[in-house]
Amino acid sequence: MLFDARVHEVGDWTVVTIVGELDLATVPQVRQKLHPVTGRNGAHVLIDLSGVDFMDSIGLGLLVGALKRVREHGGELAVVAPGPRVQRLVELTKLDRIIRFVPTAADVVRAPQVGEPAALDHPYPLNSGSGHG
Amino acid sequence: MAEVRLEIPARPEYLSMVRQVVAAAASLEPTFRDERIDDLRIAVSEATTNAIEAHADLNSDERILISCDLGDDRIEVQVLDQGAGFDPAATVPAPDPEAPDRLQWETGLGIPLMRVLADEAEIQSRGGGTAVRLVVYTPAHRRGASPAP
Repeated sequence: MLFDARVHEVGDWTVVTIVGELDLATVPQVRQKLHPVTGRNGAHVLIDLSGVDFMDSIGLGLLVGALKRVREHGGELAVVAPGPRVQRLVELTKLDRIIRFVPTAADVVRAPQVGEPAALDHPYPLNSGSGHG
Repeated sequence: MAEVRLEIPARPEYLSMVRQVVAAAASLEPTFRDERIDDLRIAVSEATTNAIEAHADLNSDERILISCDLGDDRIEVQVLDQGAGFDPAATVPAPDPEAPDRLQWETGLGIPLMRVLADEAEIQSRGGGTAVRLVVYTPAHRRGASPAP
């Protein structure tokens, strides 16, 4: 089963990109990657679920835990979740009232400008302009 | 009524397979919309997750049984575990999003989601384990459903 969770920096934001299914089997791997990120003082963290094709309440719990930790450290959290399956869960649980969901990463993440250091790897498709389906 | 039965080790890596089998069984009924199959996938994932965690709490090697019955007007899934059991009426759901302590809750959404996503969700639990029964009806049955006399 394809699953991947990567962390990369884009400008002021730390982007955590998850691909695959988010459930009891995979959430521990994501939590391990998120923990140091969400614990930084004043961190701007974007969790990108564009590539997540299944999520259940364990995944929702991960988002709630990330928000709690980011807030405790004076940071900010945003989530990209354009897929209808994840959207349905969010609507049913009304978690969009406390978690900031954005249509695309480009809505919050600013690309490095000329003269600024570029992202180390996995540059984010900020200029696609077409969203994620 | 066609039945598919799965007996799985109580380990998280089997969750995905359970969802795939249940979704494949549901898709044999051509009138189920994809959205209803997705709803069932989530509900079954919640029930099976709870079963796996119940076995983990006991450090139990016993297997979890999932049965999937495809009837004329429904798909019915049962998830049986041999965990310690619990009182379904005593479970506390996560508070509303606006509640001051909402962020203290990373759990408490599984059972409410099961109840919302399935047409019927029944939990029977006692000391020897828990049985969760989830039913999703065909669109034709739902259209023809009328209140009981």
